[in-house]
Amino acid sequence: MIKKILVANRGEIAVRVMRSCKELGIKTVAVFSDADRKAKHVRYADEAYHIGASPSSESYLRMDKIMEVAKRSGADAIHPGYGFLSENGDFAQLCEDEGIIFIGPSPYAIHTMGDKITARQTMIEAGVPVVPGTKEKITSEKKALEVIQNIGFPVMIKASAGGGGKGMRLVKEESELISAIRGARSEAKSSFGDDAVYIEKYISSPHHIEFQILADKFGHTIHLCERECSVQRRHQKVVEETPSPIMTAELRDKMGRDAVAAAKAVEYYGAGTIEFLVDDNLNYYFLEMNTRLQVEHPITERVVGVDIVREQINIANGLNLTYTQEQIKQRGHSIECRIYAEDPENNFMPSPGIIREIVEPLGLGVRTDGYMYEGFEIPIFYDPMISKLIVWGESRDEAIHRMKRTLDEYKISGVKTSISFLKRIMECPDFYEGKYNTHFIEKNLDFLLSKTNCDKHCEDIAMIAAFAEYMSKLKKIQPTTQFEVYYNKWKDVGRIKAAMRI
Amino acid sequence: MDFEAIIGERTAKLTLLSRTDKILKVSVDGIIYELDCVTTGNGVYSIISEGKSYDIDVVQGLSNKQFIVNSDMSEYKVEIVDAESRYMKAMNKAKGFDEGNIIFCPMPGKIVKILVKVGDTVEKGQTMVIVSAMKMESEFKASKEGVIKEIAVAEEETVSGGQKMIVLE
Repeated sequence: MIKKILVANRGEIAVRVMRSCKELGIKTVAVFSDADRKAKHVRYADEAYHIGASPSSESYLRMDKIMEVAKRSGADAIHPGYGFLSENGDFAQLCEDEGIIFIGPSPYAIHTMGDKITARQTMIEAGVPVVPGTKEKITSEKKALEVIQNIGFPVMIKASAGGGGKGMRLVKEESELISAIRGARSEAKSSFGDDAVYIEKYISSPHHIEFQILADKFGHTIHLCERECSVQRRHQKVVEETPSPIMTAELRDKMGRDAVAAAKAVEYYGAGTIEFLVDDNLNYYFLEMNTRLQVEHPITERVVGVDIVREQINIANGLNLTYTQEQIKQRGHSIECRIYAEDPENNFMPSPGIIREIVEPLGLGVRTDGYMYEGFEIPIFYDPMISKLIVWGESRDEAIHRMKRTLDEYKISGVKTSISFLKRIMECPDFYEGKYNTHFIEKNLDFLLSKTNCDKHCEDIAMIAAFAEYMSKLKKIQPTTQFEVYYNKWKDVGRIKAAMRI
Repeated sequence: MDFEAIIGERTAKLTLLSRTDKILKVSVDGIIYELDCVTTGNGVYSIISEGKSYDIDVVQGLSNKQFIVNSDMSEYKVEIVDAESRYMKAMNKAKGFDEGNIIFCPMPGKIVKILVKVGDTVEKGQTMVIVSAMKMESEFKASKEGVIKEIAVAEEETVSGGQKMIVLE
């Protein structure tokens, strides 16, 4: 049985994984880079080891150093979180070779699903619907044209090793095809070291719906229903919810069965996610499988009542799944908002910096997964996602209102965040009515960036607050000022705090 | 003492009338506000105005007289103009110095590439510097046509928020 887990990650997910470990009585080991010495996961873990310089290529992506720490600390398992080494088949293999349990699927499953063309072929064989297109990589432009004659324009050229929108081209007509194939190839070559590309029909206004699955090492595979992830900006998810507003019970059953079949086709074990594209007529197509824990897993946990990380650990321990498919029931509605340190008003420019004050929302049906605390400096080296706000409500309506309330309550100062933008999403009629697809943000951008109007009175109050702060700053510099000095213990505490930070 | 506050397009005249441990009396463009205004000293203000409660958070902006004010409703940039800044502005104007000619880095980050050198003529909209932060690269463009007078940063250098990068002429 696993007694000590090294979490090969940082930020909120490292803390999230450790929380389940603590509940299971498992010791936790953190690894950290130069920039993360003061990070919460380091403070939260039982043991912590430095693994290198701040850039992730010199720390969180260094398999050798992480393995060395695993050995040194006596950890019997490694949880990779998401990102970094989580979908690296070679790392899973290294763990196997070194006799350390990798909390994730087999290297074979990672490799098969990581290569898009192999994954497509495997799915076709398993009878899971895929987007119409080529089964093999494109070898000649003539052959590509033949394929397209069958499926029709527009099409997408995609890199087999791809991800994150790289090596991807939309082709609307024949004249653009050759340059698109060449462009996608060279981008794929430089980004992934592999220039294999394939062609898929372009689904014009798709929904992005994924199924969470769990599988043990005895072939028991279940799904934990869907997550609707269509609110995206530049292929990055922003808001997720479950159940999906467009889902029906029959469709859920059918897609769930296909998701399970997809996982079984690669003898999958652990937690994984099957991503589908769904069109307006509810036709669905396998898009890809994420062979790791997802960022948005908490909404599923909330609605079906399963601790997914605990299940991952159980599966890694060689235990049977705790649940059968019949025991999985959705209750109520859950929404997650991803909070990014970025400035929506300034073209979403990243905004790292020191957290001056943070007040996290509380109350019924609220969960925040974050890693910030007052005085912590959000490093410039890593992902701008700093927190996840997850709410639950009896109904979708209640969940949306609760999300609005909690976003109002969430106060983070010192860095810019996307909280106001998320609030506008909750207020947007298309979202409220559940009528949205992956073009939602693009289509509603003007609405989402517009500000709630504030009258002259409201401006006056804002100016007075700034003025009060200006005066209090002045007082700090010149103790004897023209303003009347008054005694306030709260202010003294604040001053001591500010001084200690320097 | 008279001050000015700039909020968006609006410049308002502020006069401090009195300040006690609780009550702040200020006139804004002639309207007198008598507010119950307390703070934790950490930029967090609780203001009660005629029974209405405002929870406001004030953070310093690019200079010590610029503030970012977060209220329940939204976020504002407010600049307080006092005698000193009025004097500085007049001085700068006399010297022909224009703040719009300086490109600041609005966030901490790392300089990835500098595409210009001192003496280069740049056109409006031309990219001058690329800064990387949090796996994202941001381009900084010339706001107007001009000649590069100074480059205050180097490639690979880590910069802090508000740091001067380029001066145009």
